Amino acid sequence: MHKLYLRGILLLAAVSLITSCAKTPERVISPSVKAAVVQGEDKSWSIFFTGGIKNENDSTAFINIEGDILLVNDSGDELISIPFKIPAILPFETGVIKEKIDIKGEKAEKLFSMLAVSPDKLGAPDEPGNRFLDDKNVKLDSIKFEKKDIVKLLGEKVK
Amino acid sequence: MENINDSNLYKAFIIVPLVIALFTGGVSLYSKLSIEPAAATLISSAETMKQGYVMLREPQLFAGYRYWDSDGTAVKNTIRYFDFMINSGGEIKAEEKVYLELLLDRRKGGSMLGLKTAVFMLIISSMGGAMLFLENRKKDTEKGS
Repeated sequence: MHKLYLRGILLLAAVSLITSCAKTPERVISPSVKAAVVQGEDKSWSIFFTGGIKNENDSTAFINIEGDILLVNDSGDELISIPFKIPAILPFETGVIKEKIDIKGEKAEKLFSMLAVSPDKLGAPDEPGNRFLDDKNVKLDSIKFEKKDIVKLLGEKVK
Repeated sequence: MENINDSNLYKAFIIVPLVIALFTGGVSLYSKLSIEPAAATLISSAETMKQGYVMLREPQLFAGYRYWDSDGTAVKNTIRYFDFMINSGGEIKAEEKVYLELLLDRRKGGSMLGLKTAVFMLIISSMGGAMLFLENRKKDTEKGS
């Protein structure tokens, strides 16, 4: 009987722990890219990445978020890595990622192949260079952040 | 026919609901008697509205900010707005008090639900007590005869 009580208490504690843990963002919302030619440089392009990271927690804020967005092709091969930083994402909010990197050479070739973009036609009216990305082509990598209870965070601002 | 001893079952019927009643009732009474009046006072004055919001941002046990129904959408949007505004260093305007009252009403609803739950559990516990009393009386009667 005693062992049964102990098991019950341990099970309840485990469930409480799991359900009270903050949900970590695992995917990028609405990822998209825009490719543009770098003026004054031959065969060099700028990739503007836009996406969102959602904080699904009700009482935990994410502070000083850093990480990398990996763009991969359909086979899962990494094409480019885009580092990003967001100062804070409050509960229920979506942090916006807007980053730019310059690429050239083979990297650019593989990326444009995945995006089905003709680099020679970039900037023309029929090729603005905008593409929405599928979830399978975007991975959130090495994300780091601090967690802070929203009540404590706001309490510091109110003092 | 074998006599089944239900005493342990009745004791469980008394103790478990009683513990739940004490916990939920205690938490809800604390909210009703301490937190809600304090929060109401803070949000009634423009100078202390921010402190009032921070107090109400901590949810009541039965009125959390995790799961939302259609009525809760206004509260969720209120929280998003004021979290952002206070984190950015902004001030709460007097005309925005009505939104803080939404949070206070949610807390009051939660503590009332907790108190009603406690009363319900006390009723169950009392029923367990009555059944145990009858069981013991039946045993005493059988022993006597």
